[in-house]
Amino acid sequence: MEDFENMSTNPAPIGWVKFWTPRDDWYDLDEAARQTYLDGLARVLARAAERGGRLLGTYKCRGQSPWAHFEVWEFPDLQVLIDLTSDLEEIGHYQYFAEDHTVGRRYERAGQAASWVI
Amino acid sequence: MTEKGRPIGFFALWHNKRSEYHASAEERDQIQAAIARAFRNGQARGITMAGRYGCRWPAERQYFTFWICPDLPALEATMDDLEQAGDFKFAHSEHIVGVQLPDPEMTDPDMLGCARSGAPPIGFFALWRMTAACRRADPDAWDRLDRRVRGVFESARGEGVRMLGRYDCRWSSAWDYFTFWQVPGFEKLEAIMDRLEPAGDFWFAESRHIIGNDEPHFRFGRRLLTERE
Repeated sequence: MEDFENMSTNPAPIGWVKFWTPRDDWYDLDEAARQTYLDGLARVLARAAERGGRLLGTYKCRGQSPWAHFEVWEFPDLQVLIDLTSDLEEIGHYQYFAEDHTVGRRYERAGQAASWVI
Repeated sequence: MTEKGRPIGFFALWHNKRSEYHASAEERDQIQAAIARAFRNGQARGITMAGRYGCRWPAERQYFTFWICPDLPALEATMDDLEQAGDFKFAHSEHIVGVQLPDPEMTDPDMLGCARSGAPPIGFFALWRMTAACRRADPDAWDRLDRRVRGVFESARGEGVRMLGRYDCRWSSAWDYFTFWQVPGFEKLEAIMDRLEPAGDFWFAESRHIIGNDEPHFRFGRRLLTERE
């Protein structure tokens, strides 16, 4: 894989919103298998945190969305996010959870009447 | 379309199914070998396959690819091969096709037949359709805006963005056109979007954008198949 680590010259963090909901295979797991997954997840999240990934919050939205939960993250650069995704693949995360995502750069809103850019 | 000899652009966006995680190693190996044969058959028919991009992190899907096909029958035959191979048993795919338009400002002719090696690492696929504001605009306003947008494209190509053409998909989808770019980096793509916004690109057209990072190795279930490619 290409290394994106040194490509960033912009200090503003990358924001990531992750919507997720359990798949059938999650409901089918027994307790020991769920613990194995959760232990793996803890290691994956710790690695992301060590590299500057910040989980700003996890939210429940079952009653008002097609998704069950969403999370809001920030990353210092794209490579940390891509590696987190690969690490999640390794522990079978996408077997157990359906997800949708969007990614963007944090910025300060400074609308000006002379421009449509806001 | 194809009878006029214009190439066909093909965009495929997919994610794996539950069945992939439950497949045996033997079934995995058989399917991967059959898919590889289907790809080789497609390339023998003249299809250029511009890489595979990972998009778990910015989208709801897992991978996408972009092909340029000499004609629709070549694509159809390759889809038949992939169907036979079992590709769609394990992947849920969305496919979009379009006819390549003669648009030199969005086409790097040297890149249309390019091999994937050495390509810029970010793939960018954009679909768009004209808005009501565009249809209401007077021709001078449209020309002025189009020149500004084209100017951004020209500067982007000067900064290393490879543009693999503009394609008419009004006949095949709910969109008007699509394009595929290979971009040197995420920050470069952000900078281009920052220039397109004030140029008015998103006033006269509504868009769907999908990005991904170059993924040289395919993952089947949890396993990254590094030894196969």
